[in-house]
Amino acid sequence: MGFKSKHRVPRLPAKLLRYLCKEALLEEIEGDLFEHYQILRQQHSKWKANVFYWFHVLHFLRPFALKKFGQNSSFNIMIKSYLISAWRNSIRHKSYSLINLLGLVIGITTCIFIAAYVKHEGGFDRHFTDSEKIFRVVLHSKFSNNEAFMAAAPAPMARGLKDNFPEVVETARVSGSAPQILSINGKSYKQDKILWADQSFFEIFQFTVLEGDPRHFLDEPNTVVIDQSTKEKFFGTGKALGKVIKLGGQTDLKITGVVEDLPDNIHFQSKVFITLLNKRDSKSKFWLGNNYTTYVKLNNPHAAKALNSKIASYMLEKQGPQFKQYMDINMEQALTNNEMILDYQLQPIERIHLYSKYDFGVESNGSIQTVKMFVLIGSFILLISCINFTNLSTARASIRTKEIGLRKVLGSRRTQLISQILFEAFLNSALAMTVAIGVFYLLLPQFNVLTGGSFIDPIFEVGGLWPYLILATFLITILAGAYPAYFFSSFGITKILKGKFRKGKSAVWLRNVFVTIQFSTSIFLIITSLLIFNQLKFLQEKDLGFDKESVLIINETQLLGNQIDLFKEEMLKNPYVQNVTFGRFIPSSGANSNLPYYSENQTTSSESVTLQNWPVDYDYASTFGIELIAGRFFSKNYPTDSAAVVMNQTALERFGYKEDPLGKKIKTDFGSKNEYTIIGVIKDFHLRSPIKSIQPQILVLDRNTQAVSLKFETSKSREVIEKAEGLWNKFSEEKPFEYSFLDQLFQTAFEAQSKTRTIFTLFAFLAISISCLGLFGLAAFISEQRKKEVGIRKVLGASNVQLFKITLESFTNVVIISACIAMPAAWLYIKGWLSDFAYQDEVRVYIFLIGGLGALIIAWVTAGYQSIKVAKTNPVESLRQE
Amino acid sequence: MKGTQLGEFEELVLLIVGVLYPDAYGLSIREEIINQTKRKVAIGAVHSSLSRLQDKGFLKSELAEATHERGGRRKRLFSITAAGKRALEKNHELRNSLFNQIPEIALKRLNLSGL
Repeated sequence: MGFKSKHRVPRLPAKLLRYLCKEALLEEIEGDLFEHYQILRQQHSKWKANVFYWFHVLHFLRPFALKKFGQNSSFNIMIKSYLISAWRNSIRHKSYSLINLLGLVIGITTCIFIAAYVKHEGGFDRHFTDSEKIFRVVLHSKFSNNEAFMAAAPAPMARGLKDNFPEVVETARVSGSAPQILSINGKSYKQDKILWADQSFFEIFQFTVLEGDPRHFLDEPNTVVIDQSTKEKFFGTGKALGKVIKLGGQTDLKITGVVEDLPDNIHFQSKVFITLLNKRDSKSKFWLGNNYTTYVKLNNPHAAKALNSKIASYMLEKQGPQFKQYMDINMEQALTNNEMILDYQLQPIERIHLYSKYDFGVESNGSIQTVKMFVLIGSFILLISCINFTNLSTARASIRTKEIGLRKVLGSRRTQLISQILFEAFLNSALAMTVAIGVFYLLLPQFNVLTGGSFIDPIFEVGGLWPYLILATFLITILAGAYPAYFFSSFGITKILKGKFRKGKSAVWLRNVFVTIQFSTSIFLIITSLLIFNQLKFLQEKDLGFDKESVLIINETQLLGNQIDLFKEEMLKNPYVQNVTFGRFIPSSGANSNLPYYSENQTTSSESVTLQNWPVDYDYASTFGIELIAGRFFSKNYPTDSAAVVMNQTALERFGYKEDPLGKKIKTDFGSKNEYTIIGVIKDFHLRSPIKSIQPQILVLDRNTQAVSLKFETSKSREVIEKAEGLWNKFSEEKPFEYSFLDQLFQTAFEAQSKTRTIFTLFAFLAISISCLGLFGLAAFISEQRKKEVGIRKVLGASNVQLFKITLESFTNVVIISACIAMPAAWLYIKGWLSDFAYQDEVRVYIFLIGGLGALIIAWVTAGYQSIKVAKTNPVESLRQE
Repeated sequence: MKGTQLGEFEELVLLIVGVLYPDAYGLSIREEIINQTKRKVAIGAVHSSLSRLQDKGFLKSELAEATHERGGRRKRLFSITAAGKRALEKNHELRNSLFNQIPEIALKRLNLSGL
């Protein structure tokens, strides 16, 4: 008979098919699939055959084969009925519907803003062709106690990598530049955002070219490429190709190209690109200095890992001999003994913005922490507003029970009731989404000002947020509608219609849990934003070690040439000017100059201390109000001061000169002199932003005329500026006059932190207002439900205050529990946040109390209004109906 | 009239039903399509097309005997109706007529440029 036993088809898909498929078609389809499965089993493994079977079953989920579910009702008619009842319900309870909607709108708007921000931050450096194949060389170095993370590499490395490794397609070097004076037809401009770059830079990063040939942008000396807005600034609307720009009053640069302005989500924000051929040390064969940010393009993004280890041995081969020659160090030995770390790695450019901790990159970085924090807050706020919706809907249950009951009598299935409630939730969330998008665009300009962003159309632009928003609408529908749908559809039909419906204990309990979540989130946000606020205030008011008030800084004073001494003399004649000092090394300006030094009795350079080596002049300390602890500052009376240093306390500690440091010496291999005598010790002052720790620092006497700082009498700034500008114009022959105040400079160092604070405060405010909206609605309903109880109590002689207390009691408990949850969470969070700061304010306990009490008071005020209203009602009003 | 137009895949299925007569049913039609055209088709797609063709009146069907191969289930055997035949003929004629209207030069040019 050949009666072979047949293979059994997998059970789950067969069941699925039987459940979903029309009965009339089921037999033939099952038969076909069964037959097919037998063939599959002969040809393939069981596992594979099952996968194919699944595939074919899923392919039957098409309209022609699907069963009709539900009853003999038309989908369209039911939708219409849902629409009508949704509309009538919301019209009948206008204020609640409005509260519901408003909460959702606020929540969604906030989330759109956060999403726009997060998308912007996450989208950095992704728009180049082959972005994922482009890497930056970063260096983690450590000599004795001096650890550094730098986005820099030796000058010859780029060439070396390209020539020696086949997976490297192209390499390019760039080097940032201080602002320069550019002159066009005798007119001078101060230009920042200048980048020195190799020609190959334009082969790795492809910009939109408006003029010129990108293959020959920078391949000759004295060439420059500018961006569109710079071109317009210099030349108006005409062509710029071939025109000449004078750099620093000396070199003529020929414009070889114009590119479109770079989008603001690139980690370098340069407007002018000058060829590196004009930089002498770009051709250097010195492997020990790290002066160039180096980009590498690979043929395959996954090759980076393997290449990293190859680079390590390559660098050993190149740097080893030079270490021996210049510093008498056996590099290989030093590396294996961990006396030194010199670790070059390839960092994907897409990760630079958010994940990079490397200094001296071309541009400052964002932080993944901030992004994560905002995502967290965004989801909190969305959650809060969804909870509002859930709470208000279930609270309204008692009112809608009749409708539900009637629907049930008329034959609604549970699934239909669920879909009705979900449909209403969807209507609400879609409406809220639409309104929120409108509000978003209304507020976008303010948002841009607040955050310094430049968003134009983040939702509907190409690759915009709109698909996520559609998804979010459905997500909100589920989040907000799921519980009410379950809740409503679970009522027993007879109970409802008999009027015996009581809100179940579990419902009240759950509602309290929801309110607890809302309030703990709000309290958390209040506390953390207050603590952040405090920390920033602490930093801003911290003793900086220098006096930031009333100091005027004039930049680019080297343009005055020999006249500068005359300028100083004339300025000092002004009665309001107290001190004048030369030099571009100004506290908190970000000036930076590292050099290794070692103490007099140390010999090997591995024990060196890397110092901030700041050239200053005689009047530096008096101009900036820097305090001397021991010894003296530089003085013209001591001609030997040219070989003297003044150091800060941190440096003193690092050298271990504990007692009597004056007269001791420090040594260096660099520079013209190599031995310096300590003549004074200054109190530590913040040479960088006060967010960062104070580095060991020495001041040496040197003349640097790139800037002039003037200490003047407070409130006389206008007079001083006028005088300075007048003198400037007299001496400088029409060069631009650029000045700033030290305290402004100092403020800009805080910009990022101030923004974080503003945004955090805003979010805390939003969260608490959404929670209050919800609480307000909830209180109103609960008071409504307890109207009769309150009436009876009143008749029996309860006072208004007692009644007030009764209604507030339940809310008070909820808020207290929320505070208990929120406070430890806030504590943990803020501890983590503070650990980024070198100087931390103590975490003050009273802030936690403020957070908790504040929330309690807000809850009382919102709920109190309702309870007073109820308590004041004449009992006749509430009781006469029965 | 809208709804009686033959889609490209429908036409293919209709033709194959004719080819396989009298043994045309879902799985055999799919096999034949794969063999003749090297196209990958899901069983569901064939069934969907068959049901549409039946709705349009181009196919009729009856249930055959249950067999062991199919786990004791009957198969539905399809055959072309008169309307189906007409629709096929109409399509065939239209194709031929259109093809004959292509000027020779157009095809010649094609040959030349193909070289």
